Amino acid sequence: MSGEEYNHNVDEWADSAYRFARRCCSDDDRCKDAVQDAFANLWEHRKEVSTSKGKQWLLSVVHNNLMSQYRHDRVSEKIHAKQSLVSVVEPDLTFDIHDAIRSALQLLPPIQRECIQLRDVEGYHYKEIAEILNISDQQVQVYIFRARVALQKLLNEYRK
Amino acid sequence: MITIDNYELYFFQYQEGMLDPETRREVESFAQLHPSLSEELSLYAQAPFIEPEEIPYPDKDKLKHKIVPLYYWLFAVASVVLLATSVFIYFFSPHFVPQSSRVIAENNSIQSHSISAKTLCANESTSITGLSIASNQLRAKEARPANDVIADSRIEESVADSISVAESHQELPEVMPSSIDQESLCIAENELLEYLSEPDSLIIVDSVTTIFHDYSDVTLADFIIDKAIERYPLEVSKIALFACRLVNLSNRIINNRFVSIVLSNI
Repeated sequence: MSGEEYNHNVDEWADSAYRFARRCCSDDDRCKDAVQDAFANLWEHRKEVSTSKGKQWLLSVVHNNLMSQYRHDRVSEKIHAKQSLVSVVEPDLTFDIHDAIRSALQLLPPIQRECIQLRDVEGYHYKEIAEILNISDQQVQVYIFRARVALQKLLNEYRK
Repeated sequence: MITIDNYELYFFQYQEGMLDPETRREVESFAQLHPSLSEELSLYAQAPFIEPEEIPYPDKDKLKHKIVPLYYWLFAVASVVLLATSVFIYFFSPHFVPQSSRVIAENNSIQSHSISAKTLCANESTSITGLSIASNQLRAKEARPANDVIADSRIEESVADSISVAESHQELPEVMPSSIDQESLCIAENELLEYLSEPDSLIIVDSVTTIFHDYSDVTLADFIIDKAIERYPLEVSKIALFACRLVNLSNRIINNRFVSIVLSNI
């Protein structure tokens, strides 16, 4: 990947990487840092990465970055997500499905969030998701299954 | 075979239509056997898809790198190489002598007069004439203020005395001619012509001496003096001073004809 192609990748994939990070992590600064690190990493390894694999590389680095941070503060992340669900949903008595989904997503384990995000939003195939997250494609399928079931359970609870 | 440990994968593939009919039937019978798990099948089917959301990254420009085109680098490298080559040629050329080095050489020449005179004194085999001429020249040089005409005339008298002594003693041997290097000759001549354009005749004498000192060749010095006389006929007496200096500087033989030229012009 040349320097020009790298800059083209920034234009093309910075939003996707940021969106992916934001879906997986509620801390905006942390998401920006993860994206910045991912692009710094891509620049460093630009000679090894082909242009077509640029996005996968970025998402993979963002994932690794967020996961390592998640392991450090797993507990506080969960509490924060619960609080945000309450703060988003409770004051507004009208049911907003998008807000509810967003909040429910925050309660899922990060790996499930990432799988569902990469599948639904980024439109990756299971095998590509497996490459990005460095897991098997069967694991990806199981995580997506668990995520959808958990999401639907949370929404049903909220409706009650 | 579907078990409690792997049912999620089968359920997922069932819902996504990835299974063949036989396996689908297996999944359905497994779900009937486990009603609590079969609920998950329906929950999966009801679950909403996550819709794409526009979340633009705020500072894309900060992520970009400035790309310098390759020809800029080539141009920069070529410029540096050219500059380095020019500097090398200028400073390491075999004919390059910095101005500061010239000044140092002249100063060294004055110092060498003293050393040479002392050497002459110490050496018993040195002729009285050489000693006399050298001493006179040395005194003249050290006593002369800049652009002092009276001092210059004294120098000439002193030199004339020295040469007279030399003539009376008949101690000046013949010059042993040596071959003249054409390139050195050409350079020396050019330098001499340059110096001859100077208004102060003593500067000429100094310069001629320096040239001799630099090239250390009596025959060449002989030639240079010829040129000096040709260009500067009125200053022959000062060229005589140069002749004295030759003795002083080199302690080598001097041509008799210098003496005769000098004597006929003083």
